[in-house]
Amino acid sequence: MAIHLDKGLVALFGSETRVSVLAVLAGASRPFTGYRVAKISGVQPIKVYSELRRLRDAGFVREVPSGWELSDPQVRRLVGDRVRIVWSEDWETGETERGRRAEKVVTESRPWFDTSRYAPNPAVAARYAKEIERPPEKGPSRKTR
Amino acid sequence: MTVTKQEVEEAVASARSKPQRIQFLGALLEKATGEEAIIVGGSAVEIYTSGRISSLDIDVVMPRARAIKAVESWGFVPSGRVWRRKDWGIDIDLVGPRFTGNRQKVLVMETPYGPVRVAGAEDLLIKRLVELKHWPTAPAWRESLVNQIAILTSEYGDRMDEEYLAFIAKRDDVADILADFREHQRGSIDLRNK
Repeated sequence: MAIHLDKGLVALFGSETRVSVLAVLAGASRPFTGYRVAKISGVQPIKVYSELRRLRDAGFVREVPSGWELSDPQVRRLVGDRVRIVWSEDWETGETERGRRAEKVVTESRPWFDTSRYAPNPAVAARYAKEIERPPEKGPSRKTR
Repeated sequence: MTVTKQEVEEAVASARSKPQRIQFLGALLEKATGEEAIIVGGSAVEIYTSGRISSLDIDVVMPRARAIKAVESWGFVPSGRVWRRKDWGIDIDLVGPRFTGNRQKVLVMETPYGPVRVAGAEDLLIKRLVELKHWPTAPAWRESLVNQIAILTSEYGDRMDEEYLAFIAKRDDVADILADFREHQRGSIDLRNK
């Protein structure tokens, strides 16, 4: 199950496998084993290990006792901006803070603004109807007019 | 790969939050079926907002046949499009196989049970703007939509793909409301109901 890669990154780095490996490491906040990189990226382990060694020799990644990590912060930023992979435990660590910020946005800005000034476009509504309409088993309708 | 009911029960019990429970169940669905599972809709927003916006069910885009087999083996009972386990208070909505968002914007989350995918923040934001502007939405839900939009723009605004966002905002005729929303958040205009 491969990651859907940014075509620009593939063009820049010249290989989907290379970008997959870099993308997984760019989203990681701790070293990953080659096996885990393979599992997340959907690339065969043998190809991942070969790419990791190539990137290590080029100075972009380093091998540490618990696995592999990106050693170049600029590559981390470049790749991380274009491919989105996170480790759920890292996400969970930030949950409380993220939830607090979300609460602040809602309670402080109270941006419940007047939408009547915008003219609805029935063609767009029709295009999204299937996604927005709720079947009865999902609870009451959210539609009014 | 077979994922047993016991494995699912352990995963649900080990989740430290509702958003994490959604991630684990999505990952187990992907593991059980060998097919991509993309969390969409309110449950995706719940993950992005760390539970501040709560969803009643887990909306999953994936081919349905194997997914139905898996969830029924885990004790979920069908009710229309939704599969329900009342004792866990979990509903899974197997939306179908067609993902209407952009796959390159999907967030891949690696969990202890394998990867799960979450619809991109840009697509979630635009869909909510469409619902707000073009859809006859009930007032209570409209307020929730505005909250969702506020959180998505404030928390993820600087990490969104602006080019893509501008493209779909124009395509779906919500560029005006998106621009106003951002101005409102910056404090330069006030669009509140008086």
